[in-house]
Amino acid sequence: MVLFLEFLVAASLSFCILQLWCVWRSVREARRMRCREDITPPVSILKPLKGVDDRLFDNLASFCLLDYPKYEIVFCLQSASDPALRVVNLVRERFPEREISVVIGDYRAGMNPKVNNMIPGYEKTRYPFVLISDSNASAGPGYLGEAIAHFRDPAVGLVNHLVRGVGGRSAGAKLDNGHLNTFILGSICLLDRMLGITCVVGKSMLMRKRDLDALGGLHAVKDFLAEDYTLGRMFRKAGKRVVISGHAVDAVNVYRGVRQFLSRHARWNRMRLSIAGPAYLLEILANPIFLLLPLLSCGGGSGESMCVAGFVAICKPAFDAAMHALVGAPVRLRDIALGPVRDLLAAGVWFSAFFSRKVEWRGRTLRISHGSRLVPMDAEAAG
Amino acid sequence: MLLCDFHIHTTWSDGAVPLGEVVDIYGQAGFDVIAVTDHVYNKDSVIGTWAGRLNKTIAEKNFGNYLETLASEAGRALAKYGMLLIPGVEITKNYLSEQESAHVLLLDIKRFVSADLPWEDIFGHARGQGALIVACHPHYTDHEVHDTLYFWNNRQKFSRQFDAWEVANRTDLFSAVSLSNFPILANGDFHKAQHLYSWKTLLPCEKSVEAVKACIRDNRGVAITLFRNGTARE
Repeated sequence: MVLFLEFLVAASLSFCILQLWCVWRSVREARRMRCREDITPPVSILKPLKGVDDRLFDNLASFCLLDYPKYEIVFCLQSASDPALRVVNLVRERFPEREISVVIGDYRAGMNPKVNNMIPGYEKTRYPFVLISDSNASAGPGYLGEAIAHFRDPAVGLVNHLVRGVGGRSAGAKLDNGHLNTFILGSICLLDRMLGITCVVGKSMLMRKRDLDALGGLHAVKDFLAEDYTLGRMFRKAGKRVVISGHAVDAVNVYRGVRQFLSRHARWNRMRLSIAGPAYLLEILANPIFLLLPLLSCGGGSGESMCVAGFVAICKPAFDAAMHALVGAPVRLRDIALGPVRDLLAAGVWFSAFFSRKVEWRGRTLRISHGSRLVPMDAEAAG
Repeated sequence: MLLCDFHIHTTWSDGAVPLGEVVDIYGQAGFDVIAVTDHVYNKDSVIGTWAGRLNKTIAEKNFGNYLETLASEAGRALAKYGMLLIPGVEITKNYLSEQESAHVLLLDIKRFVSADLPWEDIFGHARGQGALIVACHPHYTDHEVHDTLYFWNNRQKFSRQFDAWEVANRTDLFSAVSLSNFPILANGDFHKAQHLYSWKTLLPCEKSVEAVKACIRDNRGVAITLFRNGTARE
């Protein structure tokens, strides 16, 4: 048993090294991709907003400073009383030269509130390319130019971005950013590089409007929790390539609480289980810190087990630091020390997905069914 | 309507967030007017004594530096966010008895006012420099460890001294104050980032220090709002 557990820990470390290699390859490839001035079609940026995220003004302002000839930004809100509207007005004041419009519509077509929020705005977009970008995303000037360059290949249907968590001040935000920059980022790059599976992350998605319309528009994903993953799958089924642009988009998490970190990743884990099925079990292999627990309890504190534990305790933080450095989100030594705590919390959240498929989202209790489709619990009870 | 919070603490006293970051938190969230009001403690209390020893109070010796730093941040807040920053302090007189304890905001302060003076002298000094005087958390609260009831218990005597009373503080709403017909304000009593989501004031006036002060004194059309980051059930 001890030997088996030692094998698992070794496999887990190899898995982490593989993740690191995949991230390195993705980042290196991205550096080669540069904006081509011959491919600069006008783009509509769709920004669904809900409340004031950390550093919302800077995040929105970063999209007004893109080094790209022609684009519009469409901010989508579900209510005129949303506090984000004040920030949007401030951005409009500060960047009067930008094409900015605000669409407010309490549209409830499906179960996914983010998609509901975007549908009225999507209908107002005017340009042939649409970029969907989350409100807590912040981008550098070259972001759009580098993403659009992928469309030189006519087979490309959707361009997704690497996401790195930045700005953490609170413990919850540091945990969240650490998890994004290690496990989530590593897994996305590994699936893309090794298995050819592109896990689309909704933080930033660029596509041709005519392609999305041909697939049914945003209405086609209105009932999915993972509308991003589902869109990616639909593009692939339609024979289009889905690629990752290595230009990392910053997910700004500054003051998030620990409870918010746990609740967000509990939702994501349930979503991944509903999509991946039994393959979800493999995820635990990316968590050597957690695997030390059964090893140490079975090994009874033997010298061999302690040596393995010591080795992992040195390697995993080094691996975490390398991942952060690769994506340009350097981390302090004391924050690296949070890594083992984060990995143990992540393992707990990983297990929780087996016990519940329920999610609370904006006042509604929903159940995640196969493929991340959302079903209202109240309707199930009635039916 | 201007979205305002007139009761904010920083690491100059017992707040957890440094001044520059506080300005960014409010500016990034689209606020129009804020007042930074770090504590000036009375020295004849345990908290006041320790705050002095730990340099966690505004005192005569650091007041000039405090005002200079606020002025510099006010310039940045206006340039980047179009947000007005008003310098202030919270005169903090804590005693063992809640009935004797009281806190008062002085807004648009220019010269130091000691918390060791009698209340009448404090009000006189504040008036003399054109500062606004606000009674803070005057009634029972859920979040204060030690309530400050002195002014409410003596409201007949002191009501004319105040330009406004806090009708809401952070997540507490004081219905007794709202029923009193006193001029009102609602503030967040910000000490850490999560306190951004709390009661705030909406003012129907121009964005200038004098217009804001006049509007609070006049107190016509002043509204309060619970600033939340989502819907009620989230």
